[in-house]
Amino acid sequence: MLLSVRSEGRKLTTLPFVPLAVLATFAVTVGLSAIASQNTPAYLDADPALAAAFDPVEEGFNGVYMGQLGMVVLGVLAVSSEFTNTQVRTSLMAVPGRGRFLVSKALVVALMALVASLAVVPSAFVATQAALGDYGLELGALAEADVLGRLAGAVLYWTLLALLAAGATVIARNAVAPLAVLGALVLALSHVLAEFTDYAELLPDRAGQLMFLEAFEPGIGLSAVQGGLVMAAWVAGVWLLAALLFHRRDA
Amino acid sequence: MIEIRGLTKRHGARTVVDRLSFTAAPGLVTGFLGPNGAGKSSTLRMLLGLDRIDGGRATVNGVPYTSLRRPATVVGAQLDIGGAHPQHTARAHLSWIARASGIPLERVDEVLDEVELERAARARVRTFSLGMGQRLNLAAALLGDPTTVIMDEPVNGLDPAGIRWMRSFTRRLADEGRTVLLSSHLMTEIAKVADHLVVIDHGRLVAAGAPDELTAGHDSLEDAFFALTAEAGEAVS
Repeated sequence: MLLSVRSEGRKLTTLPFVPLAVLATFAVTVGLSAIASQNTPAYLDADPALAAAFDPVEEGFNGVYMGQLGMVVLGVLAVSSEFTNTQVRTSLMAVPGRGRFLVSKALVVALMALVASLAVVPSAFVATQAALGDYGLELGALAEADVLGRLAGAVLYWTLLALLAAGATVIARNAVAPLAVLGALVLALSHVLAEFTDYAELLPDRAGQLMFLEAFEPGIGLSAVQGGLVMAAWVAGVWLLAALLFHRRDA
Repeated sequence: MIEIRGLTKRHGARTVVDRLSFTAAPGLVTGFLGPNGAGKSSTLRMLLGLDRIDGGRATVNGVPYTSLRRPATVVGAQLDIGGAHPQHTARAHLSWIARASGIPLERVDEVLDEVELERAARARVRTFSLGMGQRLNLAAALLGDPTTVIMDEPVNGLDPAGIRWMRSFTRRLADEGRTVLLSSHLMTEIAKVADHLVVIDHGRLVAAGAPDELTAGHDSLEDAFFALTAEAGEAVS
């Protein structure tokens, strides 16, 4: 297993667009976090009621929300690249156990997403607090249990999202369908659905966001842990289907 | 040593490989011949664990390919085209394959030398000609110094010098004691290098034997081939 994991790691890190997707996610997420909160202090100065209700922690996860498409792209590319020019054929000749191949792929995607989010999520949070000026948290507040826990939740959310995208791409065998479906879901669709039903909270992205956002109002009242479990169940379900199909198909 | 026993593949109602049996022995170049669509590629893909087997078995040194832990050290397979991501460099492509079988990375530059691609090591696969792509796949097949080498249409896209090179190359591999299986529809090319021929058509074995046995009574291997496949065709219909 160690051999196939190292092989996957090498395969993905030497494809130029994979590290590029990670770097772009970092730049865009941190950049947008700073820009998006640039004018917030002025608004809060003008409206004391707004300022009283303002929660800088919640605001700090704006970037996590905006940059999540990067994790979808990472997960999709890591798998769709196998279906470019029949690379998957070479992969299965190199690692003939299909289960071993899929597990190695999932582990490497998770590891890359984890490393990326460990760098991006706290940086974006800090960038937001800096932009908030007097309304932002001090750097020391990062070490507070609540903030730290929610940062960890956001890192976990991004990692699970990349895994979800990778699993969906094993099923689709191309980049377009999973990018369209998951991109639309995280950027708009789950918001829209939430207007119609509280059960939209069970969608993988909404549920996962409970790991770092306040509970949705109105909603079905899942806790952060429950939300994380719902998202993890989606990931497990998608990978289970992916593994079944991948075992049955001719490569 | 490759052993194919009663191997069968169906696509829906169509049987593309039909209870096929043959053996490729060590130290020999075995030519695996048949027209396009005869079932050669399907046979190789089942042998390599890429396509599911619907019946029978295919083994290398007595073991199914999918049970091999470090396959590149036992079997090297060069399938005709593709198999490498266009954005990888030749070296990066071979490196991840080497890693999967625990082969030291120094070996990558050695095989690039062996197939005369050393100057293209840093070039991306998308810039490769058809012939270079063939050589890259051959380099991948040789990475683990395997005892069995399988090549699908090895002379496709090669110029006359390349074909000469490939011929002496496969000869050398067999003389070193390896099992060499060459799959092709180009009979005359294969006849020049093969010690043993296996001819299939419509997924079934048509003939097997030494080249001079198969051509006995015919002007050339090509004539023999058409006579053999015509008989097989009549037998089917």
